[in-house]
This record gives sequence, C-alpha cells and structure tokens, in this order.
Amino acid sequence: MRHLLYLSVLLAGCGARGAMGQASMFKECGPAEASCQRAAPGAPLAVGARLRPDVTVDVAGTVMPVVALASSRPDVIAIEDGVLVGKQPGMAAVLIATLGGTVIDFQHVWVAAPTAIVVERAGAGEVVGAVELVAGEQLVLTSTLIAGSQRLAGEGELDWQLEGESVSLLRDGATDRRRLIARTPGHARVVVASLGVSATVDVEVMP
Amino acid sequence: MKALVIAILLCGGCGPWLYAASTPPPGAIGTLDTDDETAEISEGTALAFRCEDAGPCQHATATSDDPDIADVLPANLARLDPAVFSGMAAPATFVIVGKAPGHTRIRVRSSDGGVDLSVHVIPADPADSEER
Repeated sequence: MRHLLYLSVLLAGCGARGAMGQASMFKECGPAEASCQRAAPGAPLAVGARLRPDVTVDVAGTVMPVVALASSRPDVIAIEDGVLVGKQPGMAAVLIATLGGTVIDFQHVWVAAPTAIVVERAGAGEVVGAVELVAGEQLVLTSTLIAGSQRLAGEGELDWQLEGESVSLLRDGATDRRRLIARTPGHARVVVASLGVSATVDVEVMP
Repeated sequence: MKALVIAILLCGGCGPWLYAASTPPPGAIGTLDTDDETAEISEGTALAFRCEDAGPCQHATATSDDPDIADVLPANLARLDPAVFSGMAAPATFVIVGKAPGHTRIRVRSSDGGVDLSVHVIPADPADSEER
C-alpha cells in the first residue's frame, strides 16, 4: 500500500507547477513572448513590487473554479485585491483555494530586495555604454529589477528622469518602459530609479 | 474473501495513517513522520498530507489546536485511490500551513478513527532561533 502511495505522490508532482500538481499562478512564457519573458513571472518577487498572477487550474472533469489566494506569511507576501505584493525578503506559500476554503494547490514564492536595475533596448538586450542616435530616431528602453544574478518579478514604482533637452522621454502605458525620441544634436542622460537602486543611460544625438 | 480477511487483520486496530503529499521548497523543511505522528515545517511553508486507512479516510476532518502556529485546511486532490472496503475513493487531503514558530497539534478525525499529529514550526530564518 505504501509503495502505491509513494507512486501516486510522485505522479501528482508531474505536470502543473503547484505542489499538488493541479494549479499554477504563473504561465510559461513562449519563446516569442518577449514581454512575458521580461516580466519573469516565475522569478522571485521584488520587495515593494506588485504582480498580478495568472492563475490556471487543471482539475479533470471541471472548468476553472472561482478561486481566492491566501498567503502563509502576509508580512512577506501580501495579497491585495488578488495581486501579490512583496513586503520583505523571505518565502511564503501562496494558497490557491476555492471561495469555500478548500485548497486546490499552493506554490512557494520568494521575495528579494533588488540590488540593481538593468536598462535594456526593447528586444535587443542590455544597454552598455552610451547610446548614439540621429535626430528623429526612436528607441524603446525597458528596465528590469535584478537581485544578484536573477531577474525579479513584479512592477515596482519606477522613477524615470531625463537630464538634457536633446531627447524626449515618452510614456507608453507601462511603468517599466519609455520611448526615447532624439530631437536635436547634443547630450542627454536618462536615470531610472526604483526601490533604492538606479541606472543611468547616456545619450548622444548626432547631427 | 481471503484478501479481505488479511486486510482486516493487517489494518484492524491500526487506526488511520497520515502521509506527506508534497515536498518542501528548497532551503525549507516540510516533513511528516507517519509512524511517529509528527510533522516539522518551516515558518511560511505549506505541506499537503493525506489520511489513509486501507484507502482514503472517510468523512475526515482536521483541526489545529493553535491555528496561529500551524493552520490546517481541507484540500482537494482530483483523483481516485483504491479503497479496500469501498472500491475507489477520493483521497482525504489536507494542507498544513506553518504560521509562526512553536508547537501545536493537528487533530484528524474520520469514520476510520483519529490521529493527533504533533507539529513543530521552526523559524524561517535560522538566525532567529528563539521561538516567539
């Protein structure tokens, strides 16, 4: 009987990413889903950042039930209107349960303090050194919170600052992304800061 | 008939058994000793377990003496397991959630009998070794 139990426990661990193999909060990013990969939904959550999970339940014989999330340690991860909020470094179990309180699955989620911000050109990797543009050229910049060698998940409060008048920095609806438009020849500097860390990109607009 | 008699002889009077049904995350502890009826989990960790007695326990419930230390919630595992006396049945599954360092008991009751599981929740940070 015990061998049968061990086998069934092992089988339960296959497939979905929850500990009970029946649900997940984070979808797998496809190779062409650049924005999904940038968001790193399965990565540790940044302290102070918010992440809206994408809950999926895979239970045979039923469509997805109405579920509610609960945290084992609200001082580490709080659940606010269905959004995960990183409160302090640590680990917490996030339970996926029916409204009646029956647990369908759970996942352990880590929270980490960011140690750096990396600025990237959309779809073209990290910005290293100064950026040179010609007047009228555009560049989309994205920022990613990093802890050590890992990307962090979640949207934090990002502060984008522009020094200089050679370029314009435009919002496009995402907090982690800005559109840089070269206006006139000269120098400019973009500074992005969040949660105590910052990154700088020097821009030169060529005649 | 012979198998039934053997099953009754083997299982009669043993009472239900609790089995861990999930693994702990890296760096954390989440164990359940079926024979000793003890569990040890890290603060913040969740651990699923099942109640078995020659098949899934029937009409099982679980309560914690101190939900502020370790809470216990009913869970649903969507499959059928062999049950000696009733053919197949859904597993009786629960989840323990380590809330704060300390000791408590989780009392599992069912038509097949009861088990008092002694639960020890250890601090998430080893440096924080003093229990609250």
